[in-house]
Order: sequence, then structure tokens, then C-alpha cells
Amino acid sequence: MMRSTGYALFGLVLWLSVSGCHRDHEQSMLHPAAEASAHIAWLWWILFGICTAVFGSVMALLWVAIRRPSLTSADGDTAKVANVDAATVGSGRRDTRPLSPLGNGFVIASGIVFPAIVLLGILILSVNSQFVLTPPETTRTVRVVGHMWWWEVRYPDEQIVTANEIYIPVGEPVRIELTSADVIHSLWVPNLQGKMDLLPDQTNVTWLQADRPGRFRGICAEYCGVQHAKMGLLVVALPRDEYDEWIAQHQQPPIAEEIELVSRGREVFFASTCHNCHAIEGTSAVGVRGPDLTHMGSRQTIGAGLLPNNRGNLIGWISNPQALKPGNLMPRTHVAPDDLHALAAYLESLK
Amino acid sequence: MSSDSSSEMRLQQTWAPARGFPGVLAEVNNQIIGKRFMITAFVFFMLGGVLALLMRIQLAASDNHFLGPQTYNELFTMHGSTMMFLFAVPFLEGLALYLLPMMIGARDVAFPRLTAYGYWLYLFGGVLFYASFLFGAVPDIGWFGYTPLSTSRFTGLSTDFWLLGLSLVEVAGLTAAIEIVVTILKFRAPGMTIGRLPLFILSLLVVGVMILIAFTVLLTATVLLELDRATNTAFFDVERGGNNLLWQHLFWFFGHPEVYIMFLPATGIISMVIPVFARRPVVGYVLIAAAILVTGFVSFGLWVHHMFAAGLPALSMTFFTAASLMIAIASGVQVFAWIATLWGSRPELKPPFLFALGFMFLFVLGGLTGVMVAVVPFDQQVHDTYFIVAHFHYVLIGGVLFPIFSGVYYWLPKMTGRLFSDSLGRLNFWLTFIGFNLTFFPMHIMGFLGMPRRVYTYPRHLELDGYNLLSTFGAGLMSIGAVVFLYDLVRGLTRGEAASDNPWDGDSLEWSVSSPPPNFGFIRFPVVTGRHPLWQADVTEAPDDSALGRLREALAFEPQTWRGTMVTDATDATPQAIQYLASPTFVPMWAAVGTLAAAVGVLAQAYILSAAGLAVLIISVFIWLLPRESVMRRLRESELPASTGLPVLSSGSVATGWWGMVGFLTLLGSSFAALIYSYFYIRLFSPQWPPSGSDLPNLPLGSAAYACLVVAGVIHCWGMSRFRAAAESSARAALVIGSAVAVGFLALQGWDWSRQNFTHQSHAYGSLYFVISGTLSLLVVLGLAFSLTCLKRIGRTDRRDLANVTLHLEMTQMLWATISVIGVLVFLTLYATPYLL
Repeated sequence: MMRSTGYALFGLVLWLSVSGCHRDHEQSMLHPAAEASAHIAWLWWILFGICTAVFGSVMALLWVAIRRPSLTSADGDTAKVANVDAATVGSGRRDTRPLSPLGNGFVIASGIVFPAIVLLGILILSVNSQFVLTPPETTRTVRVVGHMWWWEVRYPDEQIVTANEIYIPVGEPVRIELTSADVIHSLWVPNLQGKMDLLPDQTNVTWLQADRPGRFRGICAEYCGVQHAKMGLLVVALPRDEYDEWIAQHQQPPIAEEIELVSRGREVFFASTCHNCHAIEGTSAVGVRGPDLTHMGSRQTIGAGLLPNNRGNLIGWISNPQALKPGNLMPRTHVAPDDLHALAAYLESLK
Repeated sequence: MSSDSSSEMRLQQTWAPARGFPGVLAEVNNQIIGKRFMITAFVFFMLGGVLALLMRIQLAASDNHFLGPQTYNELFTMHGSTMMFLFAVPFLEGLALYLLPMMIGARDVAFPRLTAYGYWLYLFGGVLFYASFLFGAVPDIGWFGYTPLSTSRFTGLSTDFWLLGLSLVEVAGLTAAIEIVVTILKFRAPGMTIGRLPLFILSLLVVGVMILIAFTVLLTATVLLELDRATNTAFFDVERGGNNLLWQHLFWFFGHPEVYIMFLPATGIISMVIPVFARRPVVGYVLIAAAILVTGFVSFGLWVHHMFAAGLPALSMTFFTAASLMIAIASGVQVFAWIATLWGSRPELKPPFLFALGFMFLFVLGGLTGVMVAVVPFDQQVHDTYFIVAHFHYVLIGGVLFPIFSGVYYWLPKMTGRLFSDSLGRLNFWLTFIGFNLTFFPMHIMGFLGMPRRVYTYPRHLELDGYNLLSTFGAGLMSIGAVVFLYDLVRGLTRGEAASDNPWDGDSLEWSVSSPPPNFGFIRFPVVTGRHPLWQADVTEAPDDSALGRLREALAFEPQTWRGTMVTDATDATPQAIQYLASPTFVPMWAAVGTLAAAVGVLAQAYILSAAGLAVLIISVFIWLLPRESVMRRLRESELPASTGLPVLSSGSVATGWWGMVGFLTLLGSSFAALIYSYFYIRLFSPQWPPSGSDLPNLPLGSAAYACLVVAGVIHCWGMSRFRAAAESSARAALVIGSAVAVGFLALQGWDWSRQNFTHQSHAYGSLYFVISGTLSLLVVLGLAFSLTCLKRIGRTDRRDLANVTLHLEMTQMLWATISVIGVLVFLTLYATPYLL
């Protein structure tokens, strides 16, 4: 029964890994979209194969050990009895129990020699992978600063500041410099790359590269306080021309449509407390405690990967951020419903 | 025979447990305290299990609102801390304290009062930890308490509850470690050489040493963090030159050995159970013993594999990969030795053995995922995901809890004198085993599909609902298993059949005493001639005409009017002396109350309470350590030295106290090693050392101060040799002069403190300077206390107490020698290296 449970469980992992292809898998290390993550996924399947074989053989051996007919070396071999050491021989006493037919030789062969060979192989595999995964040369750099519980994203060369979204060109490695403004966070975008910590002490470096266009979800992987669970981000890989377009657009100050609702929303924004914490380039809003809102309208999500960015969600978020992400630093805003609508329209217009 | 029964009665009276209230608070006997440890640990286990169930309910579905984020974070912090600090280690310590003397043929452990003190600290620490619920300040920083989240900038009182509660438990672990190591070294039955130790005992010996080193490092780290929080030092404050990765290094230097501190005794249990069920000696005893030693040793070189995503140099990580893989070989040896032992033995599938089999299944699986995560790039993907949650629960529940269950079913008949139900035991096994796999196997996959650890919820679009629901269902099954176990326990205790002395046909000495055993275990000490004493013909009998046989009869029922046991040589276990063991006393409890008050004082920032607590602690320790005249008189008047040829007072490596001191000095060494490591680690990442605005240390002044310390050490050693040469007046003079020179050190060090233009709060450099030299100065004060108490006794006590005075002086000398060595290292660190590097 024990072993059949084991088989069932291993069957389960195989089935789930192979059959799960119909889903999006925007946050899965088994569905790599980059050389680095593909290499690690390959590594996993190799390790899985080796370990399954080892596990299967050890369990089979254990099964045989307890199931095979009674067998002791004492059957016709009375000389081979237990630990007769000098003192015991001297006093004429010996162990009354027969020994196992297997001895140290078996333990050394199967417990030292065999694992040593397998583990040496794994060590070589590991070191090789570390070489394969050395950061490639690149001129593109993105700085990511971890905050409780959102990501500040800066393009130092392009002079762009955004939040919770990293745009990268397909097929080109981007150097990612990581640091933290408060506690330790960890950047993990499983489809693209292993994780790397964001420390307040030092700048860590990793890289992201996507081999196909797409949206890949990332999440903070180091426990960082009350809303660690909802500290998500998006990595968007765009074909080169679209990427250049995105850069160009984000280098411009936001162009708000001049309709009445939007201008009223702008008034609400500056009349209330929003600008204390948020910045919008080219305006008097220069707050730094919350994410930069310069191109808020072109973001895909709000609340650090929490909800799709649309007017309904924006209104819900602004009116009570504590309901959606309890404990986050944005307080509940007391804005009249009509004003709220206008405010959302203004933010949506910042493209 | 009638004289035998009256002797037995008197022995029983001497060892009678304290009754009534407050008598129970004075208890010091290892069996009773051991049971208290196990029961308390089991209560914490149930609490930790309830916390886990609540978490599983929250995670059963995506975007669930059963628990809020704050509550969830508190629960996982409490769950992890409870299971690691309040369940696994204390339970194994309790089991060890209970069984150890019985398995090696002794009557109690080496320091009964220390056993009691450790228990009280453990209980108080655990209760203090859970008291955080009453104050609405439940720790929420995870069981690892990473800085800076755990600094005062981000968390309040809750973290103090965590740090102080756990500090008490850590000290309890240290006391148990000294207890276990010294008992194993000094109380073994004649003939039980190191090479014949039961493997469970051997694993405890290794683990005891590991605890001394690892727990001390953790304790040092928690003290540094608490100093940052309470006194505003800067060890972990980046702004002032501190370093956050330092915490991770110190924590995992403890944290990884911790896993093996739990796992090795667990494999020790398996190595006891499997041969008994195979009805034959274990195969590869020496190989298993070597594997235990290698595991213990290598486990201190693995800590960085918890930090593969922290941005450390790649080359250093390769080293840790290799070390991690090496430990897999040591585990493999044990597994194959057990398989070889079982080969064709047709074992009966009774509960202890079933749990041992379940252990092998789960542990091999968890060990293999452990090999996977030693591979750096793979780990960088699965690190801090549910894959890791799955991995370490396979290792900890499979590798520790299953062996604990195996051991509990195995030894319960001995402890209680009752037999328990095989069918209920089997039911518990299958519920736990299937429930466990359903709970934790899917977590491997959740990790691959993007579920990080320590999240209170996950979005629906990750499509993890199915796995999580399965996992929650499995957790439910496991808890039904726990209920079945509890029912079995109650049923067995009230209605179970009486157990024979050796219901499993076991091979080790504990099965030769009655079930349940008397408090003193053995009337006559056993004599051991092999690794499986009870399986050897007439093994516990030494021929009556041999020297050992005569000694055995002379010591039967003896000592009768005071608690005592025989001391043997640390390696070959030949009889050396008789050791007096304390009777029930309230002193350990008062010492623990004082320790608790000191901790609560820090927690509440009521430092007057801390001072009072410290005073109670110091007074208790004085009463505890200084010999009492009533006891000394009894020992002087004892006839045992005449009838047995063994002394009742001893010194040097014969005495347990001497070994206890060695344990304490190991602990000191480990603590200063951690402090000096911190110094150089912080320095390595500092652009300027000392920081600008602070002068280089004053080398002449420092040299003078620390030269005093060395001189004080040398004079104390000289005094010891004078004492041995019976020149008592020069020995007294040495103590006086040595102490005076040490006071000179304190004065010079104090002068150096006063002339600094920075404080312990200015920067990490200042924190290190003041804390390291301050700790050393405290140690010097302790040394002075030893010297002065010695001075009071030399030449002023009964000649028959000479051995005891010698021991006192030996301890003093060892302490001063250690202080001198530490002093030189501290001098080089604080005063010399800023010039050199």
C-alpha cells in the first residue's frame, strides 16, 4: 500500500506536468520562455529522472528486504554470529542472535560508492549550470527598488520611472539591478529566471531575457511583511519596435485628454492628499512614498499586480485600498462618488 | 532476602519523588523531568498543529477570507517557531533525559538540578512566547526573523516576545546538551565503551556537542538583535554601518545544524527499533556511527545553501553544494545499513516498526529533493516556494516526527507499564502517512506553478485551487491521526494490559528494568560486554568472584541515604568514583524565575525588574553551586569509599563537574567565535574602518589591559600547581594576586571605554567594540567570583573535602585559562587588526 501510494503520487506529478499545457501559465517554472529558465527546467527534469530512479530502487530494495522469506546467516552457518569482540570472547559470552546475511560490503557499495557516483554527476551538472547561467553582456539596465509591497522600476538610461511593470525587448538580455528601500524582498519571475534578493545593504544583479513576446508574472519571494502575498509584478516582453515605441511614449510627459471629466479629476487629485505620496511628472505632484503615476493610464495592473487596470477597479481601489490589500500603506480616501469617478478618469488618461 | 527488601525500601525512600504542592516544583529526577519535557512538548505540538490546520483552511481556496494577512503571518511564524523550538528539540531532549540513564546503566543524569532548571526555562519561554496572544502582539516575522523586518523600525513588541521567549528555550537547550554529553561520558555501565554505545546514545552524544555550538551562535545572534532593538546598537542597521546578511549567516549557522540536531536522534531511534524488529544486530554499526559523526561535522558547513538567492559569490556557493551532497552520502549509509539489517528478517508490522518504515519512505523522498535544492540554479527557482515547504516537511515530519512516533510506541510500554493497542497504532500510522502525503506532495507542484512561501492567499488565475484543497484535506486526515493517537494514549493508560519488562525482546539495558521503572532505574549496575547486552547470554551478570562482581554487590542498593550513581571512565568505562546527585530542591525553579523576570523586564522595558530577576538568578546560582555543609558531612561520613574502593568526592576528569565546566567553556568559545565573526563580517563590508570621526584604538592602553588578563590567567595556573604541591598559602596568594591583576584589566578597559569619542550607538564599529569588550569584562567578573569563592575554601575546609576543593580550583583555573585565550583573540580583533588590515 505504501509503495502504491508513492507510485500514485509520482504518477500525479507526471500527469500534471505534462497535461497542464492548456493553461496560461504566466507564473510557472515548468513553462520557460527564456534560455535561463529553460535550462533550469531541463535541469529539473534530469534531476527528477535521477531521483525517481534512486527512490524507486531504494524502496524496491526495502520492500524485498522485509518481504522475502526468512533468511539468516545462521542457517547452517553457526560461525557467523554477532559482534564477538575481544572482551566477549574472553569471558566466553557471545551474542545469541544470528546476523543478517548482508554485511558492511553491501552498505559500503550501495550507501557510499553508488551515491558518490550519482552525486558527483549531480555536482558536475550543478557547476556546469552555474557556468551556463552566467550573466550575458548587455547594455540595457533596469533598476528595481523593492518597497513594502510594490516595485519601483527605473530605466536610468532612458530616464523613465514606473512601477510594478518591467518592459523588455524580446530576445535581448536586460541587466536588472536590485536593491531595497526597506526590508528584504526577492524578485521571482519563474517563466524567465531564478530568483534574486533585493537587499537594503547592497545592489544585487541578475538579468531577464524573454525568447518570445508575452506577459510573465512575477512575485516577491522573500517574506517582507503583512502584504508579502500581494506584491506582484508583470514582465512584458515586446518585439523590438513595439518596445522602442513604449520607451518613446514613456519618455514624454503624460498627455491627458482634455475633456471635462478629466480636468475635474485633475482638480480632485491635487485638492486631496494623493500628491503627498505619488508623483506625476510635469506637475506639482512629487511624492515618493507610493508608486510613480506618470503614465498610470498605460499600466496593465493596479495594486502591484493585484487587479486589471480599469475604471471600476481603480474606483474600488482608491475608495478603499484596505479592503483589497489590507495593511498596505495607502489610506482610505474620502472622496465623493462623482469626484472618485473623475479622479479615475484622470488617472486613466495619463498615458 | 528480607535485608534486600528493606534495603530496596530505603533506596526507594531516598529516590521518592517529591509529592504535593509545592513539592512537585522541586522535582529534579530525570525520569519525571523527562516526562514533563515530553508532555509539554506534545502540548506545544498540538498547538502548532492547530495553527497549521487554520492556515490550511485559509489556503484551501484562492482569495479566501477565513484569516486576514496579519493573522496568517502570525500563525505561520508561531507554527514554525513552535515546531522547531518548542516541539521537536525539547521532545527529543525529554526522551533523551528520560531514557539516557536507563540505557547506559546509571541512576540519573549528571546534573539533576540543571535538568530541572532547563525544564523551567523551557516551560517559561514557551509560555512567554504564547503570552504574546494575550497582549495582541503575536510575532509575525517568520521563524527565521530576518533583519531588517525584525528590527525596531518595522516591528514592535511582538518581535521582543519572539526573541526573549526563544532565548529562554535556547538556554534550556544548552543545559540539556551539557547534561546529555556529560551523562554519556561519565555514567556508562562498566564495559560500555564508546564502541558499544547504543546508536541512539551515540547520536545524542554528537547532537549534544552540536547544540553547544549551534544554539550558542543563535543565542548570540538573538542577543545582538535584542540589543539593537532595546539599546539602539547598530549591528543590523545599514545606515550606521551594520549588515543584514550577518543575521542570515548567524541564523543559518545555527539553522542548518538544527535540522540535524533533530534528525540525528531520530535516526538513532530508528537504529534502536529496526534491529529489535529484525531480531538481529544492526548491520554496519561502525559505518552508522561514522555517518552520524560526519553528518554532525559537515552540517556546520552547509548554512549558505539557505542563501543561494541572496547574491553571494558563485564560487562560494559551489563549495556549499558539494558539502550538501556529501551529507547525502552519510544519510545513504544509514538507510542501506537499515535495509541490510532487515534483509530477509520477516519483521512484524507493529506500530513502532511501521513508523520506522514510513520514515524511510518519506525521508528518502525528502532527502532526494534535498539533493535537488543543493543544485544552485535549481534552488534559485524553487527557493522560498512551496517546493521547499514540501521538501522540509518530508525531512522534518518524515525524518523526525515519524521516528518520534516510532520511538514513542516503542518505549511507551516501558514508561507507563502498559501495552497499547496495535490496531489503533496502525490506524494512526495510515492516517498520518496518507494524510501527510496528500498534504505535502502536491506542494512540490504548487512551487513549480508559482506559489511562493508565506503567502496568506493566492490569486485564482494561478489555478492552484485543486492542489491546495487536496493539501487541506490531507491535513485534516493527519489531525484525525493525532486524535486517534491521543485516544490510544488515554485508553492504554487507563485500560491497557500490563506490559512485561521487555515486551519487544529489546537488546538495550532499559529493557532489563521493570516497566514502569523505579526512579533510580537500577539496584545493581549492569555490566556490559557487547553492543546488544540483553541479547547476550547472562550479560548483566559479572562473575561474583571478579573484582567487578564484588564492586557490583558492594554497590547494590547503595548509596542508600543519598542519591548517587557510579562514575566510570569517559572512554573505556571502568569504575572511577561515586557521584552524589542532588535531591529535590526549589533552587532551580527560583533560578528560572529569576531568568524569566530578567527577560520580561527587557520585554516591558522595566529594567528594574530585570535587575531584580538577575539578582534572584545570581543568588540562586550561588546557593546551587557552593557545597552545602549538610551534604559534605554525609559524604565525609560515607562508608562507601571503604567498602568499594571508590571515592565519593572526585576532581579532574573523573568528576562530572569538570566535564560540565568543559561544556560551559565550549559554549563561551562558540559565543565569542560568533562575536568575532560578526566583527570581521561587518568590517569586510565597511568602506572605512574605523568609521570616519573615530580614532584608531589605543594600542598601548589596550596592550596593557589585555596583558593584565594574560598575567591573571598565568598566575591562576601557577596557583593551581602550587595547590597540587600542597603549598596552600602560595595558592591563596596566587588567587589574590591573580584577581587583583584581573581587576586591573577591568580598570584599564573601563578607562579605554571612557575616552572613546563614540558610543555603542554611534555606528556598528562602536557597537562591536563595546559589546565584545563588555562581554569579556562580564566574563572576568565571573572569573573573579570563582576566584574569591575558592579563596574562602582553600586551607579552611576539612581535609576529607580536599577533592572537592581541588575541583573548585581546577574549574577556576580552566575558566581563567579560557578567559586569557579569549582575551588575546579579543585584543587582536579589537585593538590590533584595525592597524594591520
